Amino acid sequence: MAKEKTLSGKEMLEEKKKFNVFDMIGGIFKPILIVIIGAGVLQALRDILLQIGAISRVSSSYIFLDGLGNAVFYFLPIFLAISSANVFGATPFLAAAVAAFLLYPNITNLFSWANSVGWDLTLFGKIPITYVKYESSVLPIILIVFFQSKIEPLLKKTIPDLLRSILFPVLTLFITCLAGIIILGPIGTWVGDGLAFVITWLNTRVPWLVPTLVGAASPFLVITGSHYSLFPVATQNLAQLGYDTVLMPGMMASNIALAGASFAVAVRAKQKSYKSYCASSGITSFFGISQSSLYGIAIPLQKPLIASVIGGGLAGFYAGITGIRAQSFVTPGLLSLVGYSTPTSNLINAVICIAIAFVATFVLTLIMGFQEPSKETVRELTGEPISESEKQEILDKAEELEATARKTEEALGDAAMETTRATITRGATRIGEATGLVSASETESEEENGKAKEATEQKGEDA
Amino acid sequence: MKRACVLLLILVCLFGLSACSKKNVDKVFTSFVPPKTGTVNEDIQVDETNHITIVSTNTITPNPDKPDEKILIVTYDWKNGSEKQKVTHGSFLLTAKQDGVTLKPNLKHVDDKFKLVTPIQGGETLHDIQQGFELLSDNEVTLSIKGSMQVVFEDGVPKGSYPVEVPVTVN
Repeated sequence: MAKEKTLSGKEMLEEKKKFNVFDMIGGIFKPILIVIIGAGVLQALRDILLQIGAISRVSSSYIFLDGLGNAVFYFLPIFLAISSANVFGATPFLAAAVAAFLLYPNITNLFSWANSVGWDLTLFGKIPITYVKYESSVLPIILIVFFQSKIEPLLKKTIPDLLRSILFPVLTLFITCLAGIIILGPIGTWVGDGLAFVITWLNTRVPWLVPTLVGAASPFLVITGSHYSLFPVATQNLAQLGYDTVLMPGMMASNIALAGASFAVAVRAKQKSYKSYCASSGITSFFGISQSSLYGIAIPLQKPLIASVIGGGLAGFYAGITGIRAQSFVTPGLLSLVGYSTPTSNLINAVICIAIAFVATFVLTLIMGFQEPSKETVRELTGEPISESEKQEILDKAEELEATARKTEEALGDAAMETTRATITRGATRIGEATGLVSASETESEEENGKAKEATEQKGEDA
Repeated sequence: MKRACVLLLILVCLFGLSACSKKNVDKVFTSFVPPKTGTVNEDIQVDETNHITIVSTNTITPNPDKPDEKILIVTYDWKNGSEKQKVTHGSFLLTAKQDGVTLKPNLKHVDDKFKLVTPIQGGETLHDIQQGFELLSDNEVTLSIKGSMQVVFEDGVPKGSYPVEVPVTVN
């Protein structure tokens, strides 16, 4: 087996500098993708049963099935808080507590009520609080936990040891929650509101450009939660015009593009479990639930993300120039085709749009290639247990490391003993000289001691 | 471990089977079922405890330079039929739609917006609460009043609750 290159301290620092936003998002989502994919499949199942008429939207079966699929996405900020805390080095359960605060029913109901009746919410009667939909949100909690990771060391430094166990969690929660709802949480909403304004303006002047932009930029809109700001535009279009051209066609193109990227990665991947993971992510993306494709494949591997942006953009462009109209608000995926059924030309164009998104992204991903994640990463993604041979390999490595550590320890121990002995002898000689108990001739041994010390130091360094 | 799992599985199956067995007397779940629609000046019970009466609606033009910008002011009474002190928040929600589009709320031109957060005792009625909505056109507006129930039982079958709709004309 080839010996692996060991990085020096400087090289390690350089490697650390290469850590970018994609790695960060990938790192945050990696541990929770297994839950997202499970919930995504359940949502797809719910939609299929609804479409074929097996369940009704007001039935209790629908409520249960909907809850089963939606709960993970509704409480996504809690899952994200724990994984973000692990990435940023904050306390995971304090981060989860902050997320739980944002999703606490009384808080969400208050936000929802204030937004519905036009009440301006304030804190202590002075500080204005912006309405934010924290359910299923991504960016707010990542920003908040990042802030928490910066606050915690400061608090640890300033709080006296005696009071730390009480004051540390109290202050961390208080400061982080306040900063979260006042400044950090609303950032995504502010961005989204600006975006909604620009998109509405563009839609009146260059309508074909809007689906192109949405098709290309949907992955980023989803990450920042800005797509929620476009929902009112789409609902208004559906209500007033009877169709939407702003959000639904572009998002459908983007989701199908992500499905294309996932299947391309599944085709090219070498590890069986990763192939299966990518294929299942591709299937859920076909049904419009693209989180596992986006966070588990496109973002960490980067090139599939570029491919899906291009593929989604191309399909969105086609949707723009042909003026595809979505006539209902359905999760944008294959099942949403029922919302494009009239006239037939609209349906045909929607099918062509889907085909462009899928084929273009699939081919581009194959051409651009990607670096397959390591076995460990795949295991983390799929939740696959370690095989016996891999377990043995890890044990062998551990034994090897232990043996090396023991040797180093022994060498260091010997060196330290000799250094100590030399220092004591030298000190004793000096004291003897100072008190006149030892003659100068006897200090010759000091030189020997000095040499011995040098030798031991050298030995220590070698070790 | 395996034994425990098998035992648990058997128990789950037994419980499942027992649920399928027919009992002599089936328990029928019931709840208050709100009406689908209501009218102005009607006492509308929106859930088990809350009653709303839409007293009046009027349209204002706050800015004379912009005659197209109109606001619908809805005045209503709320009776808290429960035994507890409550505020409007959490008891019911009044929203409005015009041409299928949810209207943007506006509290700038109502008489006393603090009535929305004034607590009242159980059995009391809070009169002349006002809420404003920014109109999109002169077409009819549908007010939606949703009570605090999440699920209603219709003939013993649980269903998602729904708002009571009150059509009002824009004058």
